[in-house]
Amino acid sequence: MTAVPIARSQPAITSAEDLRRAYRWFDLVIAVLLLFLFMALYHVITILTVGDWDFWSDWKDSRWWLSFTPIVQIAFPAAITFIFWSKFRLPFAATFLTLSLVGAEWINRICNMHGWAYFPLNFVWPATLIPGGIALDTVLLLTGSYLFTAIIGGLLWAVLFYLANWPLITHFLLPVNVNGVLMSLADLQGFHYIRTGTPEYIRIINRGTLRTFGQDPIYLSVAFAGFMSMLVYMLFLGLGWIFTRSQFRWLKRL
Amino acid sequence: MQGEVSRGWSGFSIFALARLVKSPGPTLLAAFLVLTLAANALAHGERAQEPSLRLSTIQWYDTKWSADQIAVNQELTLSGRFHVMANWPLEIPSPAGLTFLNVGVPGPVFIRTASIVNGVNGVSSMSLALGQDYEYRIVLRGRVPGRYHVHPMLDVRDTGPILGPGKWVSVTGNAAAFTDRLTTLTGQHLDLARYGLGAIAGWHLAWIVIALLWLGYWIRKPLLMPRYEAVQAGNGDRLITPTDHMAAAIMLALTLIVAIGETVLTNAAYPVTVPLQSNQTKVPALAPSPAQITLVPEQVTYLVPGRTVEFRLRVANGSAKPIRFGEFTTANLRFLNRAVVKAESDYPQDLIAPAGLVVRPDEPIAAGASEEASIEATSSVWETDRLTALMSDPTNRIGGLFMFYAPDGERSIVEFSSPIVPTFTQQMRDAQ
Repeated sequence: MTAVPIARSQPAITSAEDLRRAYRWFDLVIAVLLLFLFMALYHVITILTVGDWDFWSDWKDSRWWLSFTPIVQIAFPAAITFIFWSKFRLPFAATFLTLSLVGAEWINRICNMHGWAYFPLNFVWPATLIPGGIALDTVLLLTGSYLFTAIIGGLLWAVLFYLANWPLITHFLLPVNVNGVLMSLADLQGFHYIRTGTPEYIRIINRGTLRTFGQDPIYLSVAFAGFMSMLVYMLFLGLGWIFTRSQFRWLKRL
Repeated sequence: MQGEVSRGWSGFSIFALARLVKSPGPTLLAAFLVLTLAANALAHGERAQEPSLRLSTIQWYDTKWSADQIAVNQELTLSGRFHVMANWPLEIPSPAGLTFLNVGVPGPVFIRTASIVNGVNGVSSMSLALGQDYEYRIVLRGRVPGRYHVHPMLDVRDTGPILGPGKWVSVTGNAAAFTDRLTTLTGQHLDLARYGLGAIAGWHLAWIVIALLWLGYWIRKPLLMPRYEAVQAGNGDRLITPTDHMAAAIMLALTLIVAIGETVLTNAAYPVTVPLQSNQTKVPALAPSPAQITLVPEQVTYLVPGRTVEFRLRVANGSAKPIRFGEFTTANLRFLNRAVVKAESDYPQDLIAPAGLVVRPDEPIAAGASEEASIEATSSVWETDRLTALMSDPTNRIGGLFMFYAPDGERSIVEFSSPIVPTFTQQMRDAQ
């Protein structure tokens, strides 16, 4: 038997072009993983916090939907934005997240609420947070400041939620006479399309005294949502900071 | 003892799993049988509700379904009456607070086009009074073909749904043919089943495209590792170029322009709108039953081996006519004295106890008389409808409605409520 010479292992990356190609593959794999991770996480957060306000058109009111949704939904983009910006100088975390969310929501509405539970899609359509996400990212890039992003971006986040979504529900706010009772089309959808587990009295719409202000709480709701979004954005930037303190050691080693 | 139980259970799990993997045939057969048989049980989730909720809260009667089969777009009317027990359990929130007349069906396979309670529009939540009767009518329209168990249902705030009797109704035809046409107060004719979806999908798509433009601008650049290294080296700010600033400014402007344009265009298209509406109504009760009949329970027992509820009652007939026991109904089950009442042929037969109601003495009670009566309601439904689980409840009471009939057919309905005591053996029963 003659001894077979053992081949010496060659390094996989031998040139700058190889390195660039390896980085691109790494980017691609991480991007795909993050897409699914963000779809799942942000969707679960939305279901647990916004819930019915996002599920049904007859919950999309001028008070709670317009104020509650932006306030609770800015938390996750704030935390992820801190990681993307502080570690990579990438200003698209909020856009990426809001796009992931809207994708996950449409999959859920089409397959689950329409395909399995038979609800018409025009009753269960989701809201979109994409314009607010773009505003958060672009303001951060233009100012380079977390504080200014919280103040300007937080306010825009709430205002753009109203501007981009109120026109969607407006289609369903046409008045109808239902056997002597005035209803909007959205209310009528809730009456026609039977929900055994969500009876009418469970709806939380326009409750409280805000409507005494000129009969229209929209602008107060949006202003309140903008103010609270600034605070929540700052708070969850802090959570992102805590995450980077503890969870980035592995990347350094890599 | 605890340790033994734990070992036994974990041992069972592991070895059972191993056996399943080795011989999947019987497992698959069992799974097939379970799934096949489960299809018949799917409709009876109401039996999972605790007995005290079904026996002592809402008593449904005179329930009618206008058809057993309808086509897509055809109407089905569900009508009847219900009695709100005066002796409503204290631990269960009552409909004197807030309630909503609903339909127990598997989702919007029908649409509900009208709902009326005692002549009042039932689109909103309402308050009901204890001890009173209400008449309802719900108009449904077929939407998705299939075979469904259709119940009237009262959703009581803080209590949950209380289901009425259910009947199988088939919807035939093509779901795509379903329409939900109406005219708004602004004169617009539309199909609510499809209305507005194009605009919603269009604006969503527009925003998705704008988001992809922004993401595309960044994704074409090297992303994670080179940027991470640059930031770590303190060169993070050099990664942002003047072109990036320009792109961000354009994107922000585009976002604001599109959002404002979306609002302006929509407001111009829909100048007249109303906010979401929220109403709550008070519904007047039906006029009370004309006859003055009182029932005083002396003893109510449940004979476990005989599956029989035995009532010993004193009946005082304060009406002007002689009366006879005709029916006892509780928890959607009907026990009929067949000498007095015949079951409707189109009523769900699984809700009528075959042995009926045995009344002793089964003679008319004269006007003004007060007599003692012994009544037996025997049926396996006490078990199959899981009402005997009452014995494990902290409150052992039975409620229901006794229906008395005068010779001219006039019906008087009397609420009944009493403690109930189980008798576990026949020997104990005989001794009593």
